[in-house]
Amino acid sequence: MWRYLREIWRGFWSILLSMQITLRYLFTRAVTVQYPEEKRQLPTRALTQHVLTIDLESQELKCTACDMCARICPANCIHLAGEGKGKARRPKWFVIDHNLCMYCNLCVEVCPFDAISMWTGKYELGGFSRTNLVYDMETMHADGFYPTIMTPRSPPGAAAKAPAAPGGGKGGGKG
Amino acid sequence: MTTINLHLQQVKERTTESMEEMWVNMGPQHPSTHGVLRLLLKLDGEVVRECIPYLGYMHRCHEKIGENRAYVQIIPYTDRLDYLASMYNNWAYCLACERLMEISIPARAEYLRVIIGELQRIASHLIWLGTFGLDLGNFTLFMWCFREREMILDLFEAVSGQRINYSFMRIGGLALDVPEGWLADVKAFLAWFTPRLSEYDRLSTDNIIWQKRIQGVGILKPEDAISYACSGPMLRGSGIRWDLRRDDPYGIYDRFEFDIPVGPNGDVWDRFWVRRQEMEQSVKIVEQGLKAIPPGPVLAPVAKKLRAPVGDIYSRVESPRGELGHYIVADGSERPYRYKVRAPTFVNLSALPVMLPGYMVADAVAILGSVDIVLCEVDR
Amino acid sequence: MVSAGALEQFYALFEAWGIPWIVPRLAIMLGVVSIIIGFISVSAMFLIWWERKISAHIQARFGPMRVGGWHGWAQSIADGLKLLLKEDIIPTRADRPVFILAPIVVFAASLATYVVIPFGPGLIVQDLNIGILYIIAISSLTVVGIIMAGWGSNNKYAALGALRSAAQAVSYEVPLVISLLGPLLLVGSLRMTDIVEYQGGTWLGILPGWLIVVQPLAFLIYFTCAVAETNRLPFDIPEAESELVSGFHVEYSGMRFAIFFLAEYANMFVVCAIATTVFLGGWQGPLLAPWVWFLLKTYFLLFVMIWLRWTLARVRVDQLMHVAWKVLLPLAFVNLGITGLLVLVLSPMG
Repeated sequence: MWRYLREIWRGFWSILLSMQITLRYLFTRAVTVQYPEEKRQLPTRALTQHVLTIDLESQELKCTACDMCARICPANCIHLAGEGKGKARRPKWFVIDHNLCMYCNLCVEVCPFDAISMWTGKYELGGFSRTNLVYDMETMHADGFYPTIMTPRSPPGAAAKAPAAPGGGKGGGKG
Repeated sequence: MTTINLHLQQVKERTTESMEEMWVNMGPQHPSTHGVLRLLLKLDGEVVRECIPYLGYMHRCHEKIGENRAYVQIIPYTDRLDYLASMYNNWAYCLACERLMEISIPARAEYLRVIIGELQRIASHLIWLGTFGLDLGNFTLFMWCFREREMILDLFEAVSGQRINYSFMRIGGLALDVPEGWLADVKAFLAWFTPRLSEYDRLSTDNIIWQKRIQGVGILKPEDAISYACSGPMLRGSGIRWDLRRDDPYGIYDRFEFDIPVGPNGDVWDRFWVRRQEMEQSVKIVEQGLKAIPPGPVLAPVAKKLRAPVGDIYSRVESPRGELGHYIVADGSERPYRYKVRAPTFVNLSALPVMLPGYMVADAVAILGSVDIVLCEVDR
Repeated sequence: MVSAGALEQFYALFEAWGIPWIVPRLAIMLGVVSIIIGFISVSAMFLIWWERKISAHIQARFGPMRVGGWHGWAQSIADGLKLLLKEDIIPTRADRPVFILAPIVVFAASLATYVVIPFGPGLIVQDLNIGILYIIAISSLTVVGIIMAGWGSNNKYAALGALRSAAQAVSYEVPLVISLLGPLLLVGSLRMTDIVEYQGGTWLGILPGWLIVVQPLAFLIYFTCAVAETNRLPFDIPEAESELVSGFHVEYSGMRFAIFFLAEYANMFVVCAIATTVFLGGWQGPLLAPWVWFLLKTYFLLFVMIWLRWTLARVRVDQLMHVAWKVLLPLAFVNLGITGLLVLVLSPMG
């Protein structure tokens, strides 16, 4: 009899304890972010849309169409062709199909010229058709400085020349 | 006596046969099968009499794809196995390759692997606790667990740039060193996380409904657990102290002090409690790792084009769900000749038909939840 | 609602015009029904929004924030519109008449209970002399509708949910009624207004004259049973979404589903209104208007119900029965016995 009553009391009390903590949470701040109005600050390394980086002085693509990225890509989503010989070799066309991309960053790591980056902070990639997600050289052409594995913060020496470099510094939250 | 018993047995069988039993299809679209698992349940009223699991809805030829990819290209695919503990899949695969190619990795990478791995274990157990709460009807716990998991994902995003499919480990170490201040962030997270555990306890461990729901339910006897080759918290919940981190140490786990929680009864409560305590142990391991981590490189010098010598290797790690093994047969080319994954959840799930019969539908959900399945890994 | 004299004048007016006596009475009835349905809809919509906000804040999120501007206040209206516009699906193998009738039965049962809820002095549709008995009798009709829904859907999950619901309703009606008997013994009347007026004074000059002060155990038992009666967590096993997907209304969509939803919230309001009437002194209270007090108390109880739902896990079927028959029922009997004894001892002889 006594055990029975104690069991009931224990159950009642444990429920009250649970209720106490939920009541406390009722008056704490929400941690969620109201997305379209309010945007998360992405870390520098957030893997987003590809960008073909440029040499900030000559405004030319660093890419030499060596085909390393296309070969390492596990999903075969990079296609490119180059023209020219030796140091003057540049891509003729360069297509990345983001429908297939797995965001593994292997293409960036393998690039010997630091010519491709995924640390761009461009994450709003939605489109109304699949072809919207197929990026060609024009859409991927960098419009300024983007951090890469070799230059995670800002270009060495070029920092003074491009002070308002988008995506530079710690944020990279360029939407 | 035996004849009477036999007779009683026959009577019992006949009565159960003539009683109204029905087959209920639980899944593949069901809120608590955690993905596309289909369970065929034979119900006698509310009581489950028989259970037949059907798998394969998510099969996507992971192993066959692996045989057509270069060694380094397989890493992103391993993320997609157990997507709640991607780091462990990376780790298990890279470990297998490193052992096959006899690559030793730098000390800093070893420590970072342990730190990241244990954070991943916390994240995975948090998801488990949350969805288990959802199975039992407690939605609030689910949200709270996800909040802390998001913090771990933030940490991982700062490291690897991804929130789920990290592809962060490489054969020979890690893809990148952690950013500046990241280790301090981890410390801050641990300081935030430890008191949260007692808040979860208020809703789960201490709550009478929670206790009554899962105590004495879904008992898996130790001998059954062994004969079904269960591993991880399933095995430890059945009272067998077996943890690959201690019994077959990989990486640098022999340098860390931690306990291996076991449960005595093998019921759902024990499996819950083992995971709950493992989170505390993981916090302990991460703290030790943060103290001892040396500076240095994180990636051993490896060839750009990796070729494995002819041979085969089976290498296993203790993932949050159990023994995660990768078996690779190499024929000397750039690609594995044969690639096989021993998925812990697949093996653990096979013990489900032993645990379910005799319990109610509500218990079936709890028992299935306590196995902690990830269907992407089960079906591969 | 209006004084009897005005009603008589209204009827007399129609009789003078030579209109049959049934017409004004029907008109009055229709008016009352539409007011009640309007009240139910508005209060249910508010409750749904409120529940979503409370649950969200308990879970460290915001909940609806978009529709209507301020904290998404119009979310329920938008949801209701969406449900109205959705396709009405009746499964081919369903028992059509039963399937269609089920939500109506459930809603009608909860609608009928509003007739005797005393919102304020005079603010009661029909002050029946068996008010409490009427509510208890009518509210158990809900389970008929639920069983119809479960059976008519021709779905195993729905059938399981319906049977669970039947078992639950049968078990919890018993302690619910017995827990109400204690306060009713003190009051000595089943009429709702009598019960409220009994609680007008004070206990020992300081505590409010509410019956919860002398009948706390009865209140707790009643409230537990009320949560179970309305199929809410932790007793929501008839619709347990993680076990039975959503139980008896798994096959319902669109407006039919909305009616079930509406009926659930209407029922919640009813059980809390009874608790307010019987235990919390109904409309009694200083300063504010009586109906404000009534709604305040009722909504506080509704808040507790919502709060419970987002705190606790779901019990199992056998545990549900255990709680009803082995915990609540004996306690209710003990409470009733002690109350009866005290009434007998303390009341003047003769």
